[in-house]
Amino acid sequence: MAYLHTANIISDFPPSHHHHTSAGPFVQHQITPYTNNGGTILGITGEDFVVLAGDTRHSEGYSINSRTEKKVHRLGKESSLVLATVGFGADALDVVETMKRAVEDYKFHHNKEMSPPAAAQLLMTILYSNRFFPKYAYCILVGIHAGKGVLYSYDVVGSYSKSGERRAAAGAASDLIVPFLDNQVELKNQYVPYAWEEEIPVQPLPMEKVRRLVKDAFTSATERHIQVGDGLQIITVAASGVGWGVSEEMYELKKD
Amino acid sequence: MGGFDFSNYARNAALQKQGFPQPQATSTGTTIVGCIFDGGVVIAADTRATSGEIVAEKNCQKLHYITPNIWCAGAGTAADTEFVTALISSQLELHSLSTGRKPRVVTCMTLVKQHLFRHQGHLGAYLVVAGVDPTGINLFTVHAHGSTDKLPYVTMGSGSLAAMSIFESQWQKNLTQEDAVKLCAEAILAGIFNDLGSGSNVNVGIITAEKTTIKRNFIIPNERVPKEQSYRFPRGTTAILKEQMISRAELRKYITIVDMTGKGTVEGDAMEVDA
Amino acid sequence: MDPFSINGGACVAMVGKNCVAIACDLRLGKQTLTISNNYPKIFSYGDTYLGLTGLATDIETVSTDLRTKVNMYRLREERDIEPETFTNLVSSYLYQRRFGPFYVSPVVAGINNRTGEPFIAAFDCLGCTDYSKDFVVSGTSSNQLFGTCESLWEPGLEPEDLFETISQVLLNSMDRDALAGWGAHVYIITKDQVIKRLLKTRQD
Repeated sequence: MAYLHTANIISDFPPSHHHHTSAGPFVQHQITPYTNNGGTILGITGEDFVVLAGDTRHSEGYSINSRTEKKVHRLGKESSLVLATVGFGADALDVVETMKRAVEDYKFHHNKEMSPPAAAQLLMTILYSNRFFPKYAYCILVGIHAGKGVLYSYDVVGSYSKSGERRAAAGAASDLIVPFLDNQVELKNQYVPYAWEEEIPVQPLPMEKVRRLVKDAFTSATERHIQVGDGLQIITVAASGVGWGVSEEMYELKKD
Repeated sequence: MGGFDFSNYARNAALQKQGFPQPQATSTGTTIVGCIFDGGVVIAADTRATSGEIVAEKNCQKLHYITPNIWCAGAGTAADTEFVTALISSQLELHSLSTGRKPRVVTCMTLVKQHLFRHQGHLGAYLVVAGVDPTGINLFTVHAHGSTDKLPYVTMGSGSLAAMSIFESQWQKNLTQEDAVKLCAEAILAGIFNDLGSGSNVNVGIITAEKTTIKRNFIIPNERVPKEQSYRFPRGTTAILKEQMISRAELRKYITIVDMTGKGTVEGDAMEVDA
Repeated sequence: MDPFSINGGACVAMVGKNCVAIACDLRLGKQTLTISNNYPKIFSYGDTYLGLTGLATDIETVSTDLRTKVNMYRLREERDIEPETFTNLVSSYLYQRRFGPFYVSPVVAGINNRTGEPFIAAFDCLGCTDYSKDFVVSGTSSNQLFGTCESLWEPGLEPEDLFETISQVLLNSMDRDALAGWGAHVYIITKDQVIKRLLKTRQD
């Protein structure tokens, strides 16, 4: 590789038996079932909306496979459910496809949309059904339930909180983003000026503020993490009256 | 020379044997290139230094001074490229003083390769050596194990394939200085955008018989967009339990040192013999 | 377990307007077990400050070795060591042990006595210097620190504003690192005074 190499023929040839270890004369072949394709996802809820975002870089090692691979997916045309996945690209997409089919089947069977708590439970079942050969996909599921934005986040084997969360981040740069969210969404470690017994009360954030935080979180992650960049996809699900509206925005991120 | 201290070696080897992994050094997972032209040689580098997947430094200098007419671009373990070039630079200065001649690029390349070969690849320095001396225009690469190449255009580092794709498709004989600079910058840009280990800006060095020009941040293609909002906190947001103020005048009541060359009195600090 | 994360710890330094700040946590651990909540990782060498994270035994060896070297420098030169000079000293000292390194990640902060310019730098354990004009980080929370610094820091902060920013950066980063926390020290360094503060932090 880095230097000119000539195979040592005396020691390499003919192949001797001590090359095979305890397995005897049998050679054990292996495949690597997972690769890390990088990328980061992030979700924040407001009072009556929820924002879910992800970068659009898909990488392997030091190479970029795609600059436009979206990680955030709607689970149905008529559904408020949106799922973002990150980790091993193939597994991440497979989880999304499985969920899309389940949501569609549910509608055909029951003639109504699947509710976010039901979808959340289903996603846990799907992930846990692969307990001993897990899908390497970190998931964040959001939707509108009873006029409120809800958000659930999962580990690769399906652990999640039924009551939902205010915000979540997953993937390559989640270490970089989570403490920023603690500080700016949950207002952690912030006190009323000079009243150091009184923490600043946490309030639901307005939509514009949430979008600003999401963009700044991603531009910061792009600066310091080599697997984050290229593009930013932000999907907003907002409750409006008895229904909801879903919108998608795309932003440029740095491409180095 | 060398003068390494191995007193921690046994301890660290014992730790490693117990399953402790070796430390992660800052590496310049880099793109560096060099290209000769009629009248001189150009070298160029990106400016990203990484530690694993994290960008440790966004605007670092990978073009190292050897002598006024010889410069090195470095890839690999950042500490090794830094110190190997500094060591060879110092040796060449002394050599030049004792011989009364201008240092030659082959001499530099030979010193580097012998030093690296002696250390059997344990010094992770991958260098592009370039310069102009009384024998002419020179461009070499030196790998960590001590092997060398002499070519009209070279690339190294994790972005070397991306950069070489530019040279192989666009390089031609008898380039002008302007075209050589353009080509090298283009090769670095290919590394910056297509290799995750490379990024940020392009640094260029042009060496001719007359003079050397180092252009830091020759191209800045990756400026961060302004943030959406300021995150300045109101004063008093952070809770404090204790506070201690030390004025410099207080610190300096034990010793005062007057620097006569400076403008007026420069006072010294209290000497701390213990933490 | 990696030698850098046996004892845990975090350190960060930042540049402001005519000032610098350096901060560290106070935890000393043995893997997940906390041994002490009063283990400061910032050492002063005259006007120059050094933060050290990594293996605690090496933090102590390195900080005292450098104390000796700085005192010898003072005796020879009859003046204080400048932050830039100290940075070169740390770098060559660490590189001398290239093949048997100390498991430490140093951070330097100070103001040049002659020019009044703020100065910060960080190193890897081999002595490779990272000069920075904004912020430097080290320790088990370095990823979190990079993320929060990149988001919360801005240029031209006055000393008191810089204190708030560096404190919030350290506090929120170490709260997301099980191996760091349990108290924090912050130094705000200006041309004519140094303020040292102990922060109120979570104790878990």
